[in-house]
Formats: sequence, structure tokens, C-alpha cells
Amino acid sequence: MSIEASNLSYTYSVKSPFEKTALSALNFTIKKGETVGIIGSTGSGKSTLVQHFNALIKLTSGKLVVCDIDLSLKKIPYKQLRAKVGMLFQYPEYQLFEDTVIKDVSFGPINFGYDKEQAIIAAESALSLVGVDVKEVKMKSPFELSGGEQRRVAIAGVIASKPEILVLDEPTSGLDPLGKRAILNLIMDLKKSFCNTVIMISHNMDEIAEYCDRVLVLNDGKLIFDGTPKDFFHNPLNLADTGLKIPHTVEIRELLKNKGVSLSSDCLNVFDLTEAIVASGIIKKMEGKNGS
Amino acid sequence: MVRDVSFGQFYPVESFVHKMDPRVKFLLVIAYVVAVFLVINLYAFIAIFAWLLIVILVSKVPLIKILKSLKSIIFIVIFTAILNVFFNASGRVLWSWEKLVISVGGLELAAKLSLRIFFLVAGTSLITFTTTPMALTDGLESLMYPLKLIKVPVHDLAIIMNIALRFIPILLEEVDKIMMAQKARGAAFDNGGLIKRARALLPVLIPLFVSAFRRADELALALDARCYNATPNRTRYKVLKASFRDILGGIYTAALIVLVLAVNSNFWGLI
Repeated sequence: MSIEASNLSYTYSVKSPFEKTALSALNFTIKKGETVGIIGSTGSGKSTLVQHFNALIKLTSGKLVVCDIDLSLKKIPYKQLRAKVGMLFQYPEYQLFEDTVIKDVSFGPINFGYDKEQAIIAAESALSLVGVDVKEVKMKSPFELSGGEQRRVAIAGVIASKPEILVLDEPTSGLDPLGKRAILNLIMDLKKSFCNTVIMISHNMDEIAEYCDRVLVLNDGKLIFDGTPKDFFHNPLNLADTGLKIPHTVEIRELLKNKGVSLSSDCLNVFDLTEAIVASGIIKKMEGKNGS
Repeated sequence: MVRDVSFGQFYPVESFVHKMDPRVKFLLVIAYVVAVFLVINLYAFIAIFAWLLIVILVSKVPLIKILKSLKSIIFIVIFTAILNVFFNASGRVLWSWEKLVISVGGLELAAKLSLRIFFLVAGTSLITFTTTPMALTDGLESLMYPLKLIKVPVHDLAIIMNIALRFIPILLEEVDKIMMAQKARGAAFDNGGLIKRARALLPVLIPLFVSAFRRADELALALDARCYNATPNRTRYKVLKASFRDILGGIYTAALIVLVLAVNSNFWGLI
């Protein structure tokens, strides 16, 4: 069991006019090996929730156990926890600070107690994992790189210490379509190697539908759905009041349904959708019409 | 948390003080500062304290907020108090050793100075608690209007101040975010000696500067895109207007000054 939350609540700025309940009584468990998408409209508490996972926000009520570390205890082994739970923030390239890329990427490992040589080896292997030309880039200043490269370097900085759980807060925001795809594929590759559990916040429902095998849906700090993307997106009632929208694949399926073509429900990514359309026999029918 | 820094943060409630004209509030704070400096007789601080307490109560800003903003100056106050106690010899000597002397005059002066600093900060922070930065700079601009005659770019100064004030919370939020990101990479900000701690701030300061410059660039572009400064006499969305509240406030503050002067001179020998 990677993450276990029970009755997790959080309130910002207690006893001031800015008081706001961000999370109220959440219960869920995330198992090792899962890819979980956390979705919800802006201000629904997604970021607050994930920041609890490596104790960036201190637990105030409820219980939370991450990688067998109980976060409700007074003394949390912060370094141990944060080495296990890698957290990639929105626009991670804004946290680069060192004068060379290699120093920046090895910042994490050094903090987690690697010695200098080990840290540089870890940094180099992380850099090659994220797909940048290590030799070319490592002595450059991170500020000379392009936006896409900066994001890769920032991701390398998070994964250099080989976290078991990778938490990503909108990893693809602000990238071009190809860049988005590349980052998501990179994350899936990482999942196969050492970051077995991936937790991802995203506003892009297509990404969630395609990559996640489970979604947690937050609305106003409450957990309103916990299950597969298929179950969530195929029931329009689920989406009411959440400010969310169905992915394009599901939309196409609905449109086809209105035109009298029903597809099997298993079509959350473009490949499955294509298969489902072919399987429905509609194309054959059209070809037949054209032929006659 | 960085978010808890309270000095000069607007406290959003509706109150008599909040609704006053920012220009009048400014002038009254200046009058209050004058009153604090006029105090010669220690008892006059009772009048100042009472005045301030009533203003705080009327403004509906919680007392704890004001006390928190005083926390940051405790060190300065203690430092000046100690210097004055030990190095200012006048009046009856209570205790002495080598060159260090504690005298009645020194104690009195130390008390006066510490109280003065406390009341100055408490009173002036009240204006930022009750006035939005926007209203504050509008008021300042309006007060500095005469300077326009000698070609001081009053409006530009006001907008610079406005932007600076506006960006304080944004930059604080940014610090928060960057700190979190670096903490997630194992950075620790709260242990080690002074030098170690200063070095630990580098991973926060550099991204902060980079982003401040980026924001400044973007803001300049946005101002240009909306033709800022193309028209010489901009009109306002909210026009400042003085009301009965301001007259009442003026009378109240005038009463304070008279009272302080009265206490200073022992009520002109009338009592």
C-alpha cells in the first residue's frame, strides 16, 4: 500500500477572514503500481491534497500513511519521505537555480545524503532518462536552455533520487502538443523503471483518459468519485457540477451514438476508439453504399 | 509560513475606519505621529494608548493582528532601550559600575523611546490594515498633487508605488511555491548555523529574482499594449470623496493633540 488516507481534512488560514476549507474528510488508498489521475476544477483542493503526500503541508486532521510512514506523528522523517515521494510542481522549470545543469540536478541527491560522486552519477543517469544530450547540456547554465529542455532538466532534478512515488502537478501545462506527448511518454517510461506509482493532476481530460487507470475526482474539497476513467467519463451524471468536460474520444462516441452508431464503451484513447469504430461495422456499411 | 507576515496587509472588513477617505487617513496618521513625538510627560502616552485602542476597536481589526506586526520591531526596541538605560546618565543615579550607569533619567528616556517606537509602528500599520494599497496610492497621488506644478512626475511615482505594493503578496506566494519545490527536493531551511541558513536560501532567491524580472517584463508589455500613458489626464473609476466620517476623525485626532499638549504642560496649571 503506497498511500492510505482516512478522514483527511485541511483548512487554510484558520480563524481569519480568509478561512477556507480546502479538503474535507477524504478517504482513499493508492496501491503500488497504479497511475492515478486527480481531477477537479480550479480551487477544488487538488494541489493541497498532493502537497500532503510529502508533508509540504502538515497534516492537521485525519490520518495519512505514505510508504509506511505515518504522517500524523509529531516527528516525521522528512528527508526519508521526500526521497521516496518525488514531487513535480507546475512549471517546474521556474525552480532551476544553479549555474550548471549537472549541479542543479544533483541538488536533490546531495540533500538526500548521496556523496558528491554518487550524486553526479545519479544526475547523469536521470538526465539521460529524460532524454537530453547529457554531454552537451550538463555544463551549460539551465537558463540558456529552451523551455522544453528546462522542463526535462527540472524533471531530472526530481527523479534523480529515484523516488518510488512520482507526484505531478499539471506536468504538461504550457508545452506544445509534441512536447506534451513526449513528457507523458517519458512519465510512462519512468513508471516502468522505478517510479512505480504515478499520481498526476491534470486539466486535460484526454491525457487522464488515456494514461490513468484510476481517477480521484475532487469538487469543493470533497472526493466525489473514485474509480476507473471509463466508469467516470461514460456517466454524464458524474460530470455535473464538477466543471469538468468529457475527453474528445468519449465525445466522438456520444456524437456517433446520436447518429445511430453505438460503440463498445472501451474507447478512452484514439487507438481503442479507432478499433471500436472499425468493429462497429459502420465503415464497411459506408463502403458498401459507395460501391452500389 | 511566509503567508503569515502581517506587516502592512489589508484586513478586509467593513468598518468606520475602512470607509474613511485615504487622504484624510494619511493626514491623520501624520498628525498622530506628531502627537507621539510631542509627548514629553510620560503620562501623555495614556492618552495616545486610549486613542489608538479606540481606533483599533472601531476599525474591527483584531488586536492580535496589530500585536503580530509589532513582533518584528521588538529587537530594535530592546536594543535602543538598553543603550539608553546604560549610557544616558541624568537625574538620580540608581546603580553604577565603571562607565555603566543606571539613572532615573536614563530609565525615563528609555521608556519614552520604546513606547514611542511601539506607538509609531502600531498606529502607522493601522492605515495599511484598513486601506487597500490601491486607495492608499490614490490618496498619496492626490496629496502630492501640488508637486506637479514643479514638474514632479506624481502619477508615475504613484503607479510605481502601487505596483510595488501590489506585487508584495504575489512575490510572497511565489516564495512559498519555490520553497515548497525545493523542500520537495530535500532542501532544509530551518537548521544549521547562520551561514548555512543563508546559503540554503540561494535556491529560493535565484528563482525568485528570475521570476521577478520575468514578471516585470510581462507587466511592461501589458501596460504598453493598453496604451498606458497615452492620455495625459486619466480619469478615475473611484473618485475620492471626504465625508462626515473624515470630519469626525479629524476632530478626534485634534482632541488627541490638544490632550497631549495639555498633559505635557500639566493642564496649563489649571488642575
